[in-house]
Amino acid sequence: MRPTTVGYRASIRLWTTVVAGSARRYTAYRSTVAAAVFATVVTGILRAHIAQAVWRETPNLAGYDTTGAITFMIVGQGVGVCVAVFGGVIDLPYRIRTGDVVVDIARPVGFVRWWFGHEIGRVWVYLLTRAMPAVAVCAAVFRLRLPSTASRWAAFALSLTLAVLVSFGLRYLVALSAFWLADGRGVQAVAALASLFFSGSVLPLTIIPGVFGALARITPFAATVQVPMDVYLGRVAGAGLGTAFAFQAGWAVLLLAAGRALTALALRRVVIQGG
Amino acid sequence: MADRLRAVRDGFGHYVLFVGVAFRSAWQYRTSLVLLTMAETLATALDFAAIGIVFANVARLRDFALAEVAFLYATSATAFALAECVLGQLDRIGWQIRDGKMDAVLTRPVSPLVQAATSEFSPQRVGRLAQPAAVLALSLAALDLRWTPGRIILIPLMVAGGALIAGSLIVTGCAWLFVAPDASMAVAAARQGAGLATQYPMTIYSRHLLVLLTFVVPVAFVNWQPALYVLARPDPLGLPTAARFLAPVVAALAVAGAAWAWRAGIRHYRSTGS
Repeated sequence: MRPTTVGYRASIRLWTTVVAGSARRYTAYRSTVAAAVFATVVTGILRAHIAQAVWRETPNLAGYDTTGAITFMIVGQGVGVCVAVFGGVIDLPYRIRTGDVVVDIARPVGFVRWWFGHEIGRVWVYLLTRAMPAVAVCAAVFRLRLPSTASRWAAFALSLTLAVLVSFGLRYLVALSAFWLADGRGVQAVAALASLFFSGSVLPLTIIPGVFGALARITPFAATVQVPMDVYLGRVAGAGLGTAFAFQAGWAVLLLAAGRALTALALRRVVIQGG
Repeated sequence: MADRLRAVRDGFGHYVLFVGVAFRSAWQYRTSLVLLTMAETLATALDFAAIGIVFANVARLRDFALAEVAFLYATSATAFALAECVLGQLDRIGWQIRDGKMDAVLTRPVSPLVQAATSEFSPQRVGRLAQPAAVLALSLAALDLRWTPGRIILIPLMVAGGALIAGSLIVTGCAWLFVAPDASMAVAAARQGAGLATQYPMTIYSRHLLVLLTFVVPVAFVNWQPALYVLARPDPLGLPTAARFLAPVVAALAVAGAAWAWRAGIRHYRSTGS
């Protein structure tokens, strides 16, 4: 059945409501926002110093100059905030444990879509109130590089959008595992660690040698920080951009399709906990 | 004074009791405990992997060789792992404070610190100690040090003092949560930042940052200052040689400061009123 204009309008209103509600929730606690900015600044400054020391020893390592490497670490922390590189943020496991998930199932929005709407609100809030202020503070300490052309900004914006899709796909699958596991905290902790390391926010994945490095660069985590940062710095440009976007989009489609299929399975076997 | 001593003895007894209970309870789910312990061990391994990757690309980092950076990493990671093992998930009190659940904690005749440190104690955190301890042994073997009495005394002292400074930092940070219960992320970041900052030679930091890490948040005494003596290196800040041996004094001051901050935090506690 083809949705009518009224249907579209209602659907847009629904999305706006979900996204705005989620955004309000993430701005409600001001001191949490300040704490998150502080956390990102601390990590960014320390990692930038480490990168600075490494690149002074080996200039142009992996195709970044020293300023490029420092920018990679600091702006990379900001990208990490947007893609929630520390894992989690999707409340699903908690709601499964408490049984609140029954409310989510009964909502007049698709289950995946509901959580995705939430995610969009979170990403905007994190970008504007956490990532950008933190990068701005770090810019007072280190000279950072900005994309030199409008087309590179546009490419970065597209890459960041794809990164958000991949990261949502990954974290949604991890959250969904709570339907099958009585205590999913182990899986969540391991996933968070893997995400932090293999996203490239600890060190650029491009400096990892050998087979380990080659493998690290093709995991979906690489699509969340490493690829957007390479696009930002112009290390990937021209024809390489197509490959980079295809890599991100491929993982996004695969993960989101898996999320959709597994959601159908999970909702069929759901048992509501609690009384 | 006698009262204070008895309080410490009681607190220690309660602590051992509660931790014993946590271990016995975790032992009921042996597979889960073993898997979680392995996960914790692997998690710390990724930390050291980053240093390995750096040294796959450079021969020396600011004139420090791999064995020396491994020694710094291991002493810092052991100190922080020890402190985090003992203090459990202390930063969860942020939630308890926000939800007004500290009321019940404060009415019990057991030290609130002991309760907060043991309430969500995770025995698997012991797994975090294995890897740094192994790296410490390997780095000491690789360093080929001359075993003077000074070094023999200083190395155990720096691990113990480092753990006390790290623990004081965690307690002081968590005491802040009584004032700003939503700031647990900042407290965690300060702890992780201190852990990360001490893993590398401090010569990589700017002078400002070095001064901050030495005199304001004295994490330089977790391992850097004593390590300068062990590794026979000059101090970039030019502090006298005596500073290399100050770690136990700094640790004592840090513990006193943390105790004061914690008590001030508890005095500051207001319930939620709902």
